[in-house]
Amino acid sequence: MIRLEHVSVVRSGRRILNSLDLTLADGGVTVVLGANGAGKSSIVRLISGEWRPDEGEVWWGNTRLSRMPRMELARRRAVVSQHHHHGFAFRVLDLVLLGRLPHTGQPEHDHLAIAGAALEHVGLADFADRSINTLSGGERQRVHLARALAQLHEARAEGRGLLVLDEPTAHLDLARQHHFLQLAHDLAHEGLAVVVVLHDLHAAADIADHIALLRGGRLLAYGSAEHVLTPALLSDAYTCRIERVRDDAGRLFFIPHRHPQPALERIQP
Amino acid sequence: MPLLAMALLGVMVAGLSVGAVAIPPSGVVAILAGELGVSTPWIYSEREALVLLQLRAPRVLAGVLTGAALALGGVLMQALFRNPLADPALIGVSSGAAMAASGFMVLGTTVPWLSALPSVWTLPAAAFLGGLTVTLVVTRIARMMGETRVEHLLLAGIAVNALAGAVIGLLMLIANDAQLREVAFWSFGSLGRADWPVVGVLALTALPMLVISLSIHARLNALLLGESEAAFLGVPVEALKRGLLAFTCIAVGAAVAFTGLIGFIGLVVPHLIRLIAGPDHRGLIPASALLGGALLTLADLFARTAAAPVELPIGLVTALLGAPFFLVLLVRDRRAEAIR
Repeated sequence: MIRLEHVSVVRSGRRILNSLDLTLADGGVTVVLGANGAGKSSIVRLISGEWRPDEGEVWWGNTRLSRMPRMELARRRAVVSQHHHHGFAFRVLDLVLLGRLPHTGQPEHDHLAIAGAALEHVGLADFADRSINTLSGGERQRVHLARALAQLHEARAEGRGLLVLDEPTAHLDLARQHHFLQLAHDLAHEGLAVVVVLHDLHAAADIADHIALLRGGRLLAYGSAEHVLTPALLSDAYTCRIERVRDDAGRLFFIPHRHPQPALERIQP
Repeated sequence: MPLLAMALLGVMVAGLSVGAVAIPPSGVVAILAGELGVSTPWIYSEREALVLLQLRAPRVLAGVLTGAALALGGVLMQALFRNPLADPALIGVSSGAAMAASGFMVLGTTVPWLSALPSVWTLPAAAFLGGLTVTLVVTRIARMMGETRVEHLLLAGIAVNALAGAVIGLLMLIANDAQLREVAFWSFGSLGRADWPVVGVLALTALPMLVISLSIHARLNALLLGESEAAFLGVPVEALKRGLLAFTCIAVGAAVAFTGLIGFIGLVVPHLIRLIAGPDHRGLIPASALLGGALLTLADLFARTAAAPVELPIGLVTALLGAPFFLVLLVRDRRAEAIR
């Protein structure tokens, strides 16, 4: 559905993405992995339409993303970023209703029903009238997921919605990370394409149907967890020796080596 | 909301009734009804009607419109800066108006053709243009650093505000005593210059601002999430930001031009409403307009009557009463939050 074609992004004279080709699968969870500065966030900004590539093109089906009307894009693609704290004490339901902003011309009670269903989906139906400031970090993140679901309600039904999650679990504890990613995983298997930027290799192995591994603004590898999360590729991507261990249940574990000190590669300008 | 509307109505009637020539509320109603061709059992004198229609009514209406414009300016700037403590003065509209007005009062007399024109209009025109120009300079400087980022806007605003303050200081240095007094009184603010044409101009700027703000209430809510988040929801963020700056600059600029500097309304009113009704702009916008209008009319009532026949500058009243009240609220609010 979404295809990045020879895409380059230059910011302040630095090539953040370098002639990158990547086709995102239509369904399931695609996890974007890579070291700091590898270009993960740039990919999120490109596929969410926030940035335009300096070279190359981003395609949504047969349409150039840059030519897609703003509102149409907003009806088909939602983004949840890593943190959202602000000084304004919105009611939870009002925040979720913001997801209905691109859908004008519908009766108010439809919006309310959709927002209510979205909150129920993330397990926060009882929180509708609470102030967002009284919620924990994990609950807040789920509220924003509900907002994205309300935004993609129609697109989901038509099976052509894209949910972009940019390090959504960065401020959450282990249990809440797991819970949030499980929600995203389930959504991906109900007809929503989900793209997640993560740092946690274990979480990636756990939920990814496809993994895009980046290094220095280029795509190093793309495929299943089994094929991409190999010691050789990971050591290359993170410039640090990484060992892979498999337990009896077939789950993968990754252990970085303490010695010698990782040679942190400088990104070439 | 109905409560606020009633409060505004009550304050307006009080503002119309109280003054050097006291007119009972029944008289106020009778005169207004008489103007509309409706007869009432209450009697009133010609003099009362004249005072009400020519002096008090434009003054009260100017107060309502100015208060509403300042409060709405506060709402819009707080949305733009995503900070509940932002104020319309941040973007330089007030300091620009003050600078131009001071320049006009101190240097204007040296320009023959300018002093030949009626200063009732040339002074506000100069102040309005000053506010507009300085806001434009601030936004231009902010944009020179890249796209209009609110951090840059804030920094540029602080620097340009300081510069305008320095220019006003210089002007006061070269002013004579009469001019100095004039500048000081202008900057403390007053509704005393209001007549019907002034009300007309204020209405032409404040009412469109109210209507347009209401029509974009959902976009303003989205903007509070952050600029990227708002863009993901389909909001044309850059255009919205420019629009907010333009409306605030025009409506607040007009208010400042006719009434001088009146602080605290733009900051306190939206804050108060948020404490009671939450940050949703759908309610915040009309409620702030109503409360801003009511508070400024009340402040003017106080300014006119507290030390009659001397009139207190209204800017002093809003600051003297508003600041302590605001502090009490802040402390109570924060303490309640700490307990929670």
